[in-house]
Amino acid sequence: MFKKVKRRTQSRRNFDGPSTYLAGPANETILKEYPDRISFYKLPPLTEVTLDQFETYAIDRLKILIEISNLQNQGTNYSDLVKLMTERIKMLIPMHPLNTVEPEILLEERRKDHYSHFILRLAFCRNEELRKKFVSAETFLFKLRYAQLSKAEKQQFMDGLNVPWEEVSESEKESLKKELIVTHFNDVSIGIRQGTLGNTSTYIARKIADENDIWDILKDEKVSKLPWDNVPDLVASRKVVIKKGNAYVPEFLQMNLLANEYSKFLEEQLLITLRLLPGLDEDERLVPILDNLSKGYISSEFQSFQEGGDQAESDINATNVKQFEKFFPACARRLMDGLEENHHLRYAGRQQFTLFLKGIGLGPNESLKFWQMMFTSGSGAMSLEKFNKEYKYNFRHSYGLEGARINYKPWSCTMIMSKPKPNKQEHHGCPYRDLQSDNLTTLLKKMGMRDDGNLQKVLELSDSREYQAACTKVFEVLNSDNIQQNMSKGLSVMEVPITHPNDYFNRGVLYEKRLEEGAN
Amino acid sequence: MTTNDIENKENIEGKGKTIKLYRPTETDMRHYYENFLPFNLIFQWLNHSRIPNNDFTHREFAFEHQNGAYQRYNSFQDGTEFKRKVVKVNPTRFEIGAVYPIEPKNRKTVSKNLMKPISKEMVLDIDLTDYDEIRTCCKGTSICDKCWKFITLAIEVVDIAIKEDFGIDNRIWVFSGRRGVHCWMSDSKIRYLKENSRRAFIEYLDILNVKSKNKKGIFGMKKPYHPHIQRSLDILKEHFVDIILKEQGTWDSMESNKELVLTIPDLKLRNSLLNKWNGNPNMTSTDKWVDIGTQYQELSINSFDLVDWRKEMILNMLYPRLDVEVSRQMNHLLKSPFCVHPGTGNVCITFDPSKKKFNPFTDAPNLNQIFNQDELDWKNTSLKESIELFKEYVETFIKQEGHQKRELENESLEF
Repeated sequence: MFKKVKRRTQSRRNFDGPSTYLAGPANETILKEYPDRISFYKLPPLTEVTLDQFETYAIDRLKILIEISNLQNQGTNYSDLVKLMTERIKMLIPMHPLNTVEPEILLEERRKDHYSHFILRLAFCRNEELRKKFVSAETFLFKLRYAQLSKAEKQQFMDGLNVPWEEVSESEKESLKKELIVTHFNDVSIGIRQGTLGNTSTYIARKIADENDIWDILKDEKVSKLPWDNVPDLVASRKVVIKKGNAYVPEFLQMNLLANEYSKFLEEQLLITLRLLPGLDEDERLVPILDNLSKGYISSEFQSFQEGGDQAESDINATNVKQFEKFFPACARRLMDGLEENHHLRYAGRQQFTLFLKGIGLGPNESLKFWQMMFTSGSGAMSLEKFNKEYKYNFRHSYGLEGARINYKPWSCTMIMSKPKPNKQEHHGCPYRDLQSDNLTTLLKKMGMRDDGNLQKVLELSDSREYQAACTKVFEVLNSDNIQQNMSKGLSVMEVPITHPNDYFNRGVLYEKRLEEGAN
Repeated sequence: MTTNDIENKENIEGKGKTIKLYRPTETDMRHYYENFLPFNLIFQWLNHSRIPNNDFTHREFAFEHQNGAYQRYNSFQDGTEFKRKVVKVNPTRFEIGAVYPIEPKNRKTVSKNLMKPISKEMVLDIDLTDYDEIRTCCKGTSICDKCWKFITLAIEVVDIAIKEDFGIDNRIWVFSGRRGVHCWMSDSKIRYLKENSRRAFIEYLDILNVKSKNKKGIFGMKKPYHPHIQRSLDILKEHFVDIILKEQGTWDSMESNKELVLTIPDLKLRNSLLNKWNGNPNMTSTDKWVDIGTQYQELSINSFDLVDWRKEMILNMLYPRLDVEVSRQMNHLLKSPFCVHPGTGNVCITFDPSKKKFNPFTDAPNLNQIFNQDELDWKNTSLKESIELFKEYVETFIKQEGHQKRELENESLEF
């Protein structure tokens, strides 16, 4: 497909390579168009590129965004993400400081960064999920690049944004010590725990940070002051110290502030791009490329589920589902508990749980039997007639036997997170996100967690919104014996975090099966 | 638009010690406008200089006519025309709005898009009606010494934040004539704030989130407290025992037992307290407050922190309740200082809380009383103190404004 497209381009125009589109000496262009090696991408590129460049630019940036996005889905924390991505970014979409490489190379780099960003906007404006991922990955990229800037470069970038920052002197900072500590106590504590603040060698995540820890961090942070009305959001939420009309913003908030501005701006821009997209149809060369680009972005998600999906299939039926409960992740366990208690689940809960059960190998007929049994037996349960009339269709639909006949896939963590949060009578969602710590503790204890440091760690991870990390931790604790034995037999054990409830289930079953087989 | 504060006759006599009442007649009002109201000072205050400019000529004024009709978009050339028109129209009161790109009276000659406010003083509105769920002494329009203390405290807490945190120097407090106060902030930086900054300003101050649907109050606040909250708490906690427990006796009645108990997050403690209190109708608010601490100890409750709960209760009961909309919207109008409250006859005088706490029962001149003191010269009436204070304030402010303008001009000359 691309070949055809390429021929057509060549017949229209003759491009010799990158140098043809340079207007004037490279250095001048750089200073004029790309003075900073970080950007809010406010202006789209105006000069022409070849279709080849269009594609390679886009693919290199796309690779980076996919990797970031996958790591984010796995609940990788910020500092690990930085470690893992820094080299990759340098390789694929590098941004050298001024005068460190040949001006022609520098200009090419900056153009590539500029064009690839705008090309991917076209590809990822198309639906909510794509937009969210794009914004989140691009925002990370922005933060990472911002953190790498030298002091002077940061200043230059800020100056370009017309924000009247002024660095606060040591003595002024010292005079605000008390106020700064109480105001930033929580943000800094979370930053320390997540590894975004302080250096990791003095990692003090195990204990609760005290005022001295907070001040140690704040002392090294550059604090700037500016008239308070420049940061209305920080003022409204009382996230900064305000004194005599100035807001005192530590550097870690500056980055967040810029990053927030940037993601807000990107979200708006993607919606604008979406509205303009129909106009692009005229250029039929671009549409297939864009289609392809956005496709590549989603595919990696369901792999983990499909790989292990077949192994457990055969031996599960309506009556023995309960026996497999020990392999259920917390979300499925919560749904099971809710179902047993109420002989009913609300809509979202039914969706999530039916598809989870489908994923562990419960066939359509067995599934219907299971739901019928759960809904109609026990005190206060509904009649069989009511079940057949009101719910049967619903379950058959999930298996693609009714309606549009779509074979729905079990929900991934991302999918679960994207749905509305459960209310009090509902049991769907992610327990690590949705449950208060006392209810979460009860659930985890039911699953077999003991009241020790591990449980505490899981609660902490949930607190700092690392839900998948919390889930993975629970898996490792509950399956620690099997994991140990597998390892001692030289069998491979998966180390990547869990990103799909069915992956949790499949791993558990796999480790146990291997041992059973070994024993027989 | 402001809510039409048309008074209901039945409400005038409240249970508490009501404020002096005198419903001014049309003749009274005309006489007051002609001889007493300091139009020239108000002109200078809104104009930020003695020579008329857009800050005044493009300013919106609204009249509330004697028949109750409300007329917006009036504007005047200078202080003299301002006074002439007001005397002629003789409204029950007039309100001050924003500065627009053109004279508001000519608004029909331009497209609607042009009629966006450019600047306006930042205003705050604190009113005892927002305390009705807490005060037990009075309801509705009536006020007394006891519940006015809520307003006095509110002024103290807010004024220090406006000054210390936001660095606003030019501000004047105004009695609203019956049961509340306004604050007008005129620093040039503040006048040009956009609506999102005004919202941020008021949200920063509105820690109780007054407009939120959750009327149960704020509990489980993030710790440690932001310096503004901590400072407010330090001021308020000194008065909690006297105002809430003793004077208001907020939880004296049996009916209020449940209300108080529901703020306690522990079920066991709640039930135990409710059992005891329902069996002892003579327990006072103080007894109950103390009992919470005692039973917390006895039952070895550890599901929540009692000290935190106490702090949050103090904030919930005493922290200022602000009318958020008045401050947030630029095109909102507010009654001018030195107007007369049509229901009480009280003059909306200005005061400076840093010099003297304002007491509406002794410090607010009533039209009736003024006319008895002198028919023509305010200097011989109890308006004297307030008008002189306002005059001094306006003069200092204008001088400062002039300096700033010259500085700006000098700066631009350097380029």
